[in-house]
Parts: sequence; C-alpha cells; structure tokens
Amino acid sequence: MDVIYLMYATAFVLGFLVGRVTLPKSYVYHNENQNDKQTKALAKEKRKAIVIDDKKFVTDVSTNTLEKKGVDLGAKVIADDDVQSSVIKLSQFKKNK
Amino acid sequence: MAKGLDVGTSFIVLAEESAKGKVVYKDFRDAFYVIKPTTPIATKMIEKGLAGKTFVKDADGSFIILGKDAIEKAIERNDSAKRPMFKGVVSSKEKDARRILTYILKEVAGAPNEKQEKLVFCVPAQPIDQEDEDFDVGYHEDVIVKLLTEVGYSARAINEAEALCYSELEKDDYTGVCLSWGAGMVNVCVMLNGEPVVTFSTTKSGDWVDRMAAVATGESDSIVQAEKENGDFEVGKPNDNQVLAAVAAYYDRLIDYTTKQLASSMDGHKALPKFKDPLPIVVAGGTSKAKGFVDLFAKKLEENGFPLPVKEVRHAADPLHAVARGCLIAAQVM
Repeated sequence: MDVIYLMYATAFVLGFLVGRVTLPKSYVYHNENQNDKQTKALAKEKRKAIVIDDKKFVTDVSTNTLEKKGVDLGAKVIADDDVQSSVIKLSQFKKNK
Repeated sequence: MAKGLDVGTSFIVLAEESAKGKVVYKDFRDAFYVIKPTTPIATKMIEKGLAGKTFVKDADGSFIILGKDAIEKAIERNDSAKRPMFKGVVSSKEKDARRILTYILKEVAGAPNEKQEKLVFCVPAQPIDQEDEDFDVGYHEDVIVKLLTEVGYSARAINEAEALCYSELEKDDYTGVCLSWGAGMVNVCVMLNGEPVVTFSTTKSGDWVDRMAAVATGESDSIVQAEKENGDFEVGKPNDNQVLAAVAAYYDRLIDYTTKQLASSMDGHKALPKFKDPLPIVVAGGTSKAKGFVDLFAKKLEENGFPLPVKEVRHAADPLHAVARGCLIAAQVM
C-alpha cells in the first residue's frame, strides 16, 4: 500500500513540475500583473481622493485709508410692496420638498 | 429682520423691509474714477469741484469718485470710468477693485439692524460660453462673505437668477424660467416648485453692447453707456443717432446669440423635468429695459427653437430691483 501511495505522490509532483515547465510564461505572469495592476489602480484612486484645497485665499482688505468725503452712497426708493405673501408661499414649497 | 443684496457688475442694490408692505431699495452705481492731483493747489481746486459729489480721499492724496458721479467725471475728461467688478465677479484687472468694492458694499449695506442679521446676496452661475481662469465665483463669494461677516452680518449667497425666480414666480407656484440681464452677464434659472433645477450664465450682455458700439463709433464706453441709458432707441430698429443705431443693432445680435445659447443648452438637458404645463419666462435687469426688448426676445426664442413649451414672456414688475427683492425673500425663508 505504501508503495502505491508513494507512486501517486510521485506522479502528482511530476505532473505539477511538468505543468509548471510547459505552461506558457505569459499565463503565469498575467495573474501576477493583474494583481499588480489592481494594486496600482487602488493606489491611484487613493491619490485622486486626496485633493489639496487650492481655492484662492481671501486676504484682508483695509479701507481705513479711504476718508469719506462728499455725499452718502446710494439713492433710496421706497416701494409699496408686501413680500410676506411670497415668503409664506416659498417657505411652504421648501418645507414640502 | 433681514436684507437682500444684489451685487451686480453695474449696480449694487440693497433691499430691506422698513414696515409691513414697504420695501426700501438703495441703489448705487458700481463705478469709480481716480484723480490724482499733482500740486497742493490742484488738490484744493479738485476738492472744491467735487462738492456735492460722492467721493473719498485716499492716503496718497488721490480722489476716488464713486457711482454715477464717477461716470460723469470720466465723460467730462473724455475717459471711461472703472468698475470694481467685471463680468459678474470681483475684477482681477483693476488693482483697486477689492478695496473699492469693499468700501461700496460696506456703505450700501450699512450696519446690521441686529446682531448676526441675515443677509442674502447673489452670485452668478458658471458661464457656458467661456473657459476663463479669471472667472472664479467661489473666490468672489468668499470675498463678499468675508467683508459682510466683518461688518456683523450672517451672510449667504444664492444664484442671481434663482433670486429672480423667488421674486417673480409666486403666482406661477415658483415654476418657470427667469433670466437676469445684467451688465456683465445673462443669468438663467429654470425652477420647479421653488427648487432651481438648471442654472447657468452667458458672458455677453449690456457691457458687450456698449463695447461693440464704442468700437464701431469711436466713442468711449462711458459715452455709449450714457447715450444708451438716456437716448431714445428701439432694439433692432434704425436710428438717426449713430451711437444709438449701433447700440440697437448690437442689441439685436445679443438677443439672437443668447436665445441660441439658451435653446442649445436646454435641448436634451438631463436635469430638466417634464413640465406638465407651459412655462412663464420672466426677464429682468438693466439691459432688458430697452424699448422693444421683450418682444424681440420672445420672437427670437421661437425662431431659435427654444425646446420648452412657453406660456408667456414677461418683464419683471420692477426690472432693476427684482433680484434684490428675491434675495430679501430668500433671506427671510432660509
């Protein structure tokens, strides 16, 4: 019985080795490359997700050097206009959204 | 209490309720003109000549004339007034733009009536006809929020044409299309039951008409602007005055261009819902005030294949104040 098991084991090992030698190399590397590609794509995605905030910085503006002279800015107009009906209706639409 | 502020290329308009049924509007022409005297005598003479005008004196001794007085002074000197804003956003071309805009906005908005008073102001949408790195709505918004916050307001921005929808579409259940024809841009918003579904802008409007007419007639932009605002002309019609004839012709081309852009952008737009009823289209803004504007716009919309069913094309009740009014309504709702 031991001899038979030994023969099976030898046949399996030989089969594996022959298969490994005779298989086209591209197949073996293909899987490795595939894994490699996936890893690189994930890394790239991660890189994409990290974005630097390059919005233009708003610096301070001083108007202290401007000395007001002359007349006030802006002409005033008073209109008879009730905006409250618009406010109420729009609020309802926004609530029902 | 709350305030609405229309920060436009040509006008800054503040709206606030003074009492029930009364809205106070404060308008200011968004322009400046700098005079730098060379001698102490000239300083005195200039200051005397500016009596009754709106101006400030800078630390270097120069006089900065503001508003419509700036345009008048520029015309007097055969020159053009400067603008702190260009095509809807704070101008990067003018060195003093941010400082002047900050000063004008602080003066027009005034102090808040209460701590952290709500103030809603408008900003333009991203243009569909121009890729320009100088056009930075985010930066423009940040600049205005920063200065209004410093004054003590709780400030928030909304789209300009969205504000117009809030002002003009109440009887249409806040469903329709609104176009704000400012000096620098045309802003468009399609609204469905109070929610903006499509917003965009185009970068040719009243200033483009002035510039083109100025080039055609050899006059300065400020002179063309003054002639346009005070003269008698009808859009697309001949005129004996050469400046007004050029203005009328370029208006025709502007309306044709904008309606073509409108039709092209809306056609097959994925965000557009299927509207069950024909839509009202409302136009506002200083550029839309020209005689014959609304009729020609309606005609061109049809000719150029506007893809949505149209119920009517109408002018806003108060074309110059409608955006500020919409901002005031938004400030009380949001």
